[in-house]
Amino acid sequence: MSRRFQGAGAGGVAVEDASFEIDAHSRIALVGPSGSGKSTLLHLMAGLLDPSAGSVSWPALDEAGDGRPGAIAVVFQAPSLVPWLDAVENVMVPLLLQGLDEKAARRQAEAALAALGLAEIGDKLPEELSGGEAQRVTVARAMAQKAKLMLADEPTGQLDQATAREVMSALVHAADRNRAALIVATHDPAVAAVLSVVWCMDHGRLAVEKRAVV
Amino acid sequence: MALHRLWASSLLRRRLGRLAGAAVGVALATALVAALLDFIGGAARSMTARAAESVPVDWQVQFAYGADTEAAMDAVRRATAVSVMLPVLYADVAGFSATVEGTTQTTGAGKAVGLPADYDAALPGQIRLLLGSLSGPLLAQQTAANLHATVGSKVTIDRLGLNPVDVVIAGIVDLPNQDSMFQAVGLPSGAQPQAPPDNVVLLSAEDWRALFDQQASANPGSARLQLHVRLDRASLPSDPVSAFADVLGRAKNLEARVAGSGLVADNLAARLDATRSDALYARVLFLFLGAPGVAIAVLLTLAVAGAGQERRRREQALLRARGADTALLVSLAAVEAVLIGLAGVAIGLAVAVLAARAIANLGTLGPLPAVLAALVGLSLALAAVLTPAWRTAREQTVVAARTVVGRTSAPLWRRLWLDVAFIVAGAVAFWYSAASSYQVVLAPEGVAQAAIDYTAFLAPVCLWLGAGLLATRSLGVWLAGSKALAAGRMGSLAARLAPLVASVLARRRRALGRAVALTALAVGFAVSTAVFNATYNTQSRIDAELTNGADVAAVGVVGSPAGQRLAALSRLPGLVASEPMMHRFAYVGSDLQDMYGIDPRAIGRATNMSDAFFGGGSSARTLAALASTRDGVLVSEETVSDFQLQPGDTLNLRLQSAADHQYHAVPFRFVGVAREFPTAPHDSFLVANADYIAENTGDAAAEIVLMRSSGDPEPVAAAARKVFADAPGVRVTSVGETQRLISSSLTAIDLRGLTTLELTFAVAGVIAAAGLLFGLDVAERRRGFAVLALLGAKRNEIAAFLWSEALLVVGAGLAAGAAIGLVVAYVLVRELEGVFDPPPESLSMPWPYLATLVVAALVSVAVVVLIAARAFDQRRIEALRDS
Repeated sequence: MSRRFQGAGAGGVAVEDASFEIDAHSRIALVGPSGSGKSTLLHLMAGLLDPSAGSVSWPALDEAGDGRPGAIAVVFQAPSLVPWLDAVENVMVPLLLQGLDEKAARRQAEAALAALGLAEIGDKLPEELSGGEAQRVTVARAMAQKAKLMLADEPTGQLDQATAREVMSALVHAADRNRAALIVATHDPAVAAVLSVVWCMDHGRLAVEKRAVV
Repeated sequence: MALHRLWASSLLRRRLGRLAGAAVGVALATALVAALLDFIGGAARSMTARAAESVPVDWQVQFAYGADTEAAMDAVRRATAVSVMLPVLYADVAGFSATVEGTTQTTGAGKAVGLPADYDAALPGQIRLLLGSLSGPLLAQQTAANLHATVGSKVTIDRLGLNPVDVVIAGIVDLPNQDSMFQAVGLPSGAQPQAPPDNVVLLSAEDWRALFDQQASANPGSARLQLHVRLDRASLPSDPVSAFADVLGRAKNLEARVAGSGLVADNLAARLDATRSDALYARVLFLFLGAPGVAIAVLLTLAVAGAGQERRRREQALLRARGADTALLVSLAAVEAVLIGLAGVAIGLAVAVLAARAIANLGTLGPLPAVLAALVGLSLALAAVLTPAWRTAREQTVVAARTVVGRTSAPLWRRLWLDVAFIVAGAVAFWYSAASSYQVVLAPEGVAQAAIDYTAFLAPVCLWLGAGLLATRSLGVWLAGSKALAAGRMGSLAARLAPLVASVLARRRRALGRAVALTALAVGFAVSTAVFNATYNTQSRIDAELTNGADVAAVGVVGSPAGQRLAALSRLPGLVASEPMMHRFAYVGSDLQDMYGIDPRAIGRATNMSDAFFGGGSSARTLAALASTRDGVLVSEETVSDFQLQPGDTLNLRLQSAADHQYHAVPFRFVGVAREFPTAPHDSFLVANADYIAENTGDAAAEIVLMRSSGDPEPVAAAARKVFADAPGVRVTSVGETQRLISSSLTAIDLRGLTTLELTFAVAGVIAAAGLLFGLDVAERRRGFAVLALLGAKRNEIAAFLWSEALLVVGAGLAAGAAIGLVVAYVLVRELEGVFDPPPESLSMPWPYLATLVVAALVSVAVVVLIAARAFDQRRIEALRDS
């Protein structure tokens, strides 16, 4: 598939002729310099953007639509929490959208937070959380919704190294628990090193898929 | 400077929506202030002129007959600038007589007036021609009735000490200002005014001199010279209160100059004295009705312009974290404030120009109101943006500044219970006003000083503020304490997200409370103004109906009664009923009163007989008493008091007989009190059975015909005029014409213009409070909604989430606002009772306008919800980046 942005001519190609297959349990680091198209590719995978050419489908997820809610979870660089919902309520949102009743959703949300060591911050609002806590709440949300494909776009970009390690650990833990595929866009080698496969993006092209030695 | 230019261009490129929304708020305040100032200035400039419109002769300066006319006129010119000055001669006569159809009628003493040739043209309104022409001797209407004379009749004038002389009548006239025309000049203040003479003939000055020079020389006391003067009104102050003192001063100056040889009857001062109260009420109306509108505009502007405060605080925090000092932060905030202010002022002034033309009919916007309004708009923009920025820069930590929702303590007003305090203060102020009989305007007759009791304003403003704050508190308590109720009521709209709605509403209760308060205050202002205006219009209509008598009234004269054409009138299209009514004169003792002869069983078909018209409070009972007592009569309360009447007492009234045209005593029985009656004057009057009057006077003619129309009275009036096309003495008027005449008072004109401006603004204010503020608030929270969309919330679910907030704000705001508006309207109507004629018994409800408010509020939030839900769904990635 390809994705062009309007009015930019040849230079406006964000992703060009990217083709790939992802298996369940994949652990993929999508690396490349800033502006190489990593975020656009992830947004295309998540169905948040429509490709200018080609298509995206996830037969194993059995989703006819865009894969949301439920099967695909996205973790952004800035914590994507609803500012006027507390941590538990933020985690509850996708569960409620999946059709769970309030009690069940709250139970699962609290369990997800507890699994990531965040049980005590359940009633805090997002701006009362540290950057790392907020990102881990986002990961807990992805875990609670039992996503089968977890996409993380520079999830540690705003964090220090120690917190980044915590967040990556939470992501991998959540992916393991859900038996989900995990793709992390990053330009941090330390983050890429945690994952078993490395894809390279360069000027919108998905370069040779490298298999890291595990 | 480069940074400031960069900041400005970035704001215009990236935050245009926020700037535009805030600019609209500033524009609202600027437009209202400009339009109001322009209207008030225009109204004030023309007040004296409008007050004096009904005074044809400002001064009647009386000299002894034989005084040097030129010297007298010169003295007047030196005392004041004049536009018209004419000499008028008066002579006393012993009586008039005329022989009609073989019988001779003789009147008592009267007056002969000598007028210069151009009198009617120079001082229009003094003489109204009923029959014939003005070129020759004229007979006053009452005198013609007394003599049974008409155009062409020979009337004999019985001069004092000389032989009688005959004149042939050229015309019959009405003298609308006969009270002032024949006033006794030079009476001490407080003396009883004299009734005008019943018998008057008007002659040319030449004829008068030919007939009365000799009498005046032989009996100087029987003749007088008056100068009828119209002042140069452009030289008067525009404010009637000041003009009154000015005119009084000029009159005293003249009397001092002529050293007692001349006396001034100051009609203009008397009129200005009477309208001072009116003028002061107009000023009071600007305060009572105009000030809340400006206050609402200021509050809304501050709220709208400050809607981006959270984002500004976070931006400030980022800049501070990167080393920006207080001065830089404040200057950057000033850049945004100036952009908002300039745009808002430009839009606001453009809107004010349109409003001034379209609504208030004022023409172009004056420079002073424009400048003042621009200053207000800029000040509001600076206050809304700069003050919080300065406070944040000086006081808050970076972390606190980045807080979005936050958990904050209760605001000061809530802790101090200011809402309750304001309501109590308002109630006390209202009670105080009631104790002084609602005397807001104090303008004692004849005294130059006048005053407004401004403390009366405290009642509505305190109630308004207090009730708005109480609505906020109540909402907060409800949201905090009734989650289940809130969820059940509001959350059901949000479908899958319903469980979160109650928490969000409770968590945002402070912001929602502010929105509800502003909406309630805006709606309250709109409702109170609209109800006050509707009540005024209703009373004005009632007054017009009383004055005109019915939807359409045909009023004839002696010799040309309207009742003669009753059959033709009855066939007019659009007519429901027509009823004849006699209009005679009867002496009650020595007092000549108007007398109306009716069929009590039928009069109600053609006109409304309100219970308030009669003593005892029941028109049905009073009219039934009159119908069952053939010689019954209804009299005024003053007559009851003067003659100590009890029901059933005999009252001998002198009525003119058609046989000999003399007044003869006719016995009546007192059966009830009439306070008001269609077409009746404010003075005492009588109502009796037409049959009995006809039987005892030999004259069954009905001078008046009252008509009720099924729809618009104008076409019926136009058709009735055609019926009387060949009867020039009959005047046909509709209630609409009369209402327009009544509505030409100072208060009516100013109220109409003011309320039109304010009612239009009020709708815009409700849209701003409900829709614009809600929209700006939603825009500031777009990132959160984008997250919901990213997580899979459908557009209709996000819309439903928004609807739950919107309906809460609009529903609570409308309900609280309606209650506030009705309470404040009641207080305004009671305190400004002096504006109404007659005073209202209840409030009138303008249902179409109130419906417009509801629709405007709902549509404004609906537009926001629909646009926002679509935008959040489509632009969620961009919104997410916008942290």
